[in-house]
Amino acid sequence: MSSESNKPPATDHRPLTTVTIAGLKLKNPVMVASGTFGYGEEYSPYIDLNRLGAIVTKGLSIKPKMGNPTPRIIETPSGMLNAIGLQNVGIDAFVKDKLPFVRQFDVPVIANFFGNTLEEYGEAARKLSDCDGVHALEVNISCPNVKEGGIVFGIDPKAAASVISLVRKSTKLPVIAKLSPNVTDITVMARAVEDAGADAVSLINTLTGMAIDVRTRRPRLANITGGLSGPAIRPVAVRMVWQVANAVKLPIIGIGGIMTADDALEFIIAGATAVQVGTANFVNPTATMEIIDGLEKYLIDNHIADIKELVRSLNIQASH
Amino acid sequence: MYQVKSRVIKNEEVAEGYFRLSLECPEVAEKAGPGQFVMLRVGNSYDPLLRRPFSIHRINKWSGIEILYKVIGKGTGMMAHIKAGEGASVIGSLGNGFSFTEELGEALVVGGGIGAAPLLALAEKLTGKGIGEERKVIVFLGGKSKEDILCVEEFKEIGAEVQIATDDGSLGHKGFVTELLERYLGQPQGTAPTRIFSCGPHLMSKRVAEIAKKYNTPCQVSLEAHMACGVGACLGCVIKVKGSGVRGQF
Repeated sequence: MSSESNKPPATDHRPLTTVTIAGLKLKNPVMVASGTFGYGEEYSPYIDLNRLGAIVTKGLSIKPKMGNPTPRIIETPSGMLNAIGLQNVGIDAFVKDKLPFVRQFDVPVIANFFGNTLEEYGEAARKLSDCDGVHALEVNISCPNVKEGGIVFGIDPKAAASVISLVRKSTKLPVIAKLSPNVTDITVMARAVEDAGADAVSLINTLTGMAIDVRTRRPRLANITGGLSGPAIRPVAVRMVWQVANAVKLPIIGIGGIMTADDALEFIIAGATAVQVGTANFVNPTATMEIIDGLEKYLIDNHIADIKELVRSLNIQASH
Repeated sequence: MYQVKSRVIKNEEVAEGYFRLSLECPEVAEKAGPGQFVMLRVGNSYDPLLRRPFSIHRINKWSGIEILYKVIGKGTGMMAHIKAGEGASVIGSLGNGFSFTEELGEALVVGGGIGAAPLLALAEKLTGKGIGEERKVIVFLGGKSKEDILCVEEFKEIGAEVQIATDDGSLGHKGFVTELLERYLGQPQGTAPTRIFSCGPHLMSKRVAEIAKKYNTPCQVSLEAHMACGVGACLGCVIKVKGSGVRGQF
């Protein structure tokens, strides 16, 4: 593999794939989504982490969290429902045991985190900002699987704004607000976090869903409801990214059922500066590498010098 | 741990609804141990979307692995139709697997239904596969009916003693396989270090663990769970561990 960190010389015809999100420079727009990549080490046997645009950690909280009872995961048509319940090792153990591993790589680390209360969001942001090796914060105000925290702050624009403005005051790192699709109008939420000082938005988190075993009449997840992800939700996610792109100026990170480079391109054309690959990691651990290669090939094949030209490039003119 | 494009060597129905799949994947086989599993995907469809976890049924270090599976739903239904020469994507080998030391004198291997699958690889290792170790291996197999008792000949071939129980009494003891285990442990025991290994339905595993505790015999249980990744990232497969909160079992 060529040295990825070396800038190609001016005479090189390789297209530019670098993007910048809130001052954070990524070598390409392909990140891994929170909760689908562990803390980085889990997938290091399968891919070269150095090639990723960024790594987004499993959602972190001040104290470790046990998560929900099992079954936590079930498959649905072209997707999966999960109700993990934000199980995580806690910020202290993350900094001590997990961060040193990912820090070895030449890849920005975005810490995804949540709080049970407003104050905890502020405290968690401060703690994460103090550690060496965290390059941005992604604020989870959209987990559908826990009673406290998470989505409580993600479906009310005032509550979302109060979380984001507290996090904004508590850190100098770029602040990314991860939005829930489980709202009537996602642009209201996007404007609220933009006004509160977010540097970027990422969307969408999972859609709330449910599945029932008709033989036993029992819910298939112990938590009864869960979050739907995978290709099944992609059209919803692309639509929401497009709506948000028309509503705010913030850079957008598109998420939702991206399996291939073409899927990623849909989000970029709709308005995303970068994307996150989630469920695809489970199905195909090398999905991110294939997407990165596929994006570059698309740029070459279509004579596009810089991937940024594609962002918000949706053509809605009537065809002739 | 590797993600490899493997080639199907053979995929044959060994009993009604049960298939044995041989896969060419020497890199996976070389590192694999009994009790470990692989995440398998056939085809490129998004429905079913996720890989399926399968225990490793047999390991041939030079060529690949075998998987013994029961056709249950869409995923295994698709698998039943794949033919020699076709491709399958394999991630493995994953999980902790069974372990034992050289000193182990007696192994009591308990399998329920398709839970017998990983126990053949284990029994092959336990019996030393011709190396000539003097280790006693008794395999207790349980199932609903005689059709669900798998691999009896294979176990016998490698020198293991086999005891059978079926719910309907169509083969062997009528009742639970755990009753056979308890009956055996209830007899006067020698001094050789003994260990119980088990794989099967959750309730069977629970009963095996209770019996192991009662007779003060070390025991290793292989559990199954719904999971998406197989590598410890999705945290779907976790199991509660006594005294230490929660950790993943892979």
